[in-house]
Amino acid sequence: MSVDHGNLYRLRPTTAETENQNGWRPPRDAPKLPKGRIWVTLALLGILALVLVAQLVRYQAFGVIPKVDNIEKETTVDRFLPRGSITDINGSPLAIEYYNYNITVDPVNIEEPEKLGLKLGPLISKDPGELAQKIRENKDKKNRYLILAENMGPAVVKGIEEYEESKEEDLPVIIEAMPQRYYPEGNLLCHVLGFVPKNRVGYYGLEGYYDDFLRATSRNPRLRNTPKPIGGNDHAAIRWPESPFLPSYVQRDLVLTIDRMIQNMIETELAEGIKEYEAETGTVIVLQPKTGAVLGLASWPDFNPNDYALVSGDSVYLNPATSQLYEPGSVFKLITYAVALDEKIITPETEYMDEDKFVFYEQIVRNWDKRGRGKVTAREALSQSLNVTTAKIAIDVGSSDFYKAVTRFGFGQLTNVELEGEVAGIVKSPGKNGWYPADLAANSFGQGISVTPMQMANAVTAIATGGVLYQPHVVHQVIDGEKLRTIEPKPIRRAISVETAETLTEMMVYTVNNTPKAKISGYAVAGKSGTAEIPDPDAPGYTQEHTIASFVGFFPVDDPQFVILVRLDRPKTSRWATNTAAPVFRSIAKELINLYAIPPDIIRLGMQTTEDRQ
Amino acid sequence: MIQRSSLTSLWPSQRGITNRSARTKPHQAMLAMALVFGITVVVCLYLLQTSKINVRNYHIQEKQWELVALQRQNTNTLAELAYQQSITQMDKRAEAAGFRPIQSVLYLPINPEQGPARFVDESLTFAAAESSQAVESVSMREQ
Repeated sequence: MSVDHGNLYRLRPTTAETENQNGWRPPRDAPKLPKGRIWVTLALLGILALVLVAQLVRYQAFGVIPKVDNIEKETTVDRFLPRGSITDINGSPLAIEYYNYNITVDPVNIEEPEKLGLKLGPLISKDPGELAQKIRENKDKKNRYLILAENMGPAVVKGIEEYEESKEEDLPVIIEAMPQRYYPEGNLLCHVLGFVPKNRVGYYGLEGYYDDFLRATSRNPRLRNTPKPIGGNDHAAIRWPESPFLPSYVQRDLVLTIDRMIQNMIETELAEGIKEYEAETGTVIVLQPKTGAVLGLASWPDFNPNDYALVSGDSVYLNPATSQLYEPGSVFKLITYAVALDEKIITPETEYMDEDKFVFYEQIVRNWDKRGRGKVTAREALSQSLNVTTAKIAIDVGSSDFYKAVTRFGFGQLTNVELEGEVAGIVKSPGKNGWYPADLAANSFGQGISVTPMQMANAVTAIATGGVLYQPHVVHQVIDGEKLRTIEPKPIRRAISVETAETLTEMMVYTVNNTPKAKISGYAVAGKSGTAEIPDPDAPGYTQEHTIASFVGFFPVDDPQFVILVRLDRPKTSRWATNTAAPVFRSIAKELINLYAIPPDIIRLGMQTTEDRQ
Repeated sequence: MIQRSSLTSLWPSQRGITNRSARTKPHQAMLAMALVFGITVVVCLYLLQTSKINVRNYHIQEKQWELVALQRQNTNTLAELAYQQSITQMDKRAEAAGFRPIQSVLYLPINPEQGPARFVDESLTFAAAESSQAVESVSMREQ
């Protein structure tokens, strides 16, 4: 029998070795395959294999996740996957899981729906007849899955188990454990936490920002292992707070920088301030200047993440501290004075002629009371919040240096705080966003520029820290499986020199001393108020009736522990921040002094002196 | 002729096969029997072990489900604990027990040079704090 080898000969290279094998020998006239082509093919395959191996190593060993632009948020996730816990800095739970149960059946496998209805009805508090009818209908439709009862408590499951034991009978039901998100503190910290609806996708705040991280990889709880610290300078010293809530069974947990007691105090003070001054909304931020840690962040109106649907509109979910822009008004003068001091354009004693009206290009600048002060020093101009002098200082600085400094303080950029939905703000600058020279004058006193409260508070931390801008953060520690990572303070850049920061602090203390409603007896406080006009949505220019009142400051001045920003939107009792935001600032500062037991300056500094002597 | 006394009677020679090579010697038969016995023992042991492993696996699985159920139960207990420890609940209990929020705080300067301990109240003013007279110049109230 002859075999037609066809093209087979062409595929086999002709070598001395192949010729000797089993006496096989290609015909002499068989064409030889070019060696070059083989090598090229092999090389290409080799490169392809190398690329695949390299990508595998990259994804699996280094955890690099391929980035896809414009990817839509995953809206369908496994509803049975539990999520990790979120606690405050002391381990008190802020967002945890609990289990509810669904009682389900496979209708096709139920032979006598009526009998099951009679047995199950009393156990799940349902009408037996209705249950039987429901099962029958789904059986006829050949449905294999039917939920008979949703969100049942553990008592119902126990009841079913006891029934089965007593009757020695297995009911043909499937009990599904459904993890649910629970926020034990209710409205507290709602804008920072966000919420998780039934589809188990986290929205807003930390739930949104850390959605993928918080979600478990397996449906079942895992054994709780002791996390080992990684990173940081002193591993042995790093511990997570002693708490029964940490680590969770998911072991993907967040420990925040926020203390719930401080947060509760801030929210209470804010709510009282809003009520007293008849403001529409409000925000308070408390930062720790030396680390950038957010110690408290409150906004009103708030919502209960356990009942997130009970709100008037979606806008309530947005965190006004990071997602809402506003024109900061006079608190922004701090930036103007900082750059002027830093560029050595002014000293606190530099004198300016303050007029009742100053025109720069088409911009008419007036003081808040429309009065000129005559010859004033820079210190006095900041203290009295004079727009005319501030505009003149900004013009002396020049637009180039002014906007460079604005950028150095972090305006027009994300602060990268770990909260979903942060916006960067709108900063016009020469050659960008339709900037006009007249904008320099308006921007110098915080009009015509849009910032977030978080940006404003963080910029002031740069003054409190001696010129260094830190990245604000709300997460203190991350428990990821058996790893415990502590977030280190992250300095971004130096915004101003140490000398400038010290001089500006002294000017801010002078300002607070001339603001009776912000002053705290016994403590040196640095601060600045700001009453910003609100752009009129229906006409060019600003509304005359409403303002945004804000106050930002820090204390104790010798060793700043807290930067506090208070913002009240459209207060009705007074349009001036010194009458509205300043007292709220003082109340919060006094409470912080009590909670952190900070002795008055005279005592604290006196104690230091005594220690030094010893 | 059938040799019934021999174990080899069941082998090909018994069936009239006279081929010399098909005849089996007794020791070969013994070997075969031993082999069959050995295989049977191994199979039995294997089955025994497999069934034991299955039973163990079943028990482990049962324990795992028990563990999962207990962990879920613990999760629910923790949720209840979190609720009871929440600020709202603590406030309610504290109020019921007669506690009130802090109204004022007094600080106690510890300075051996000043003699007995004295309290400082909130009448301290910033201007006084700036004074070079320090503690002595500040109006202090004996408690």
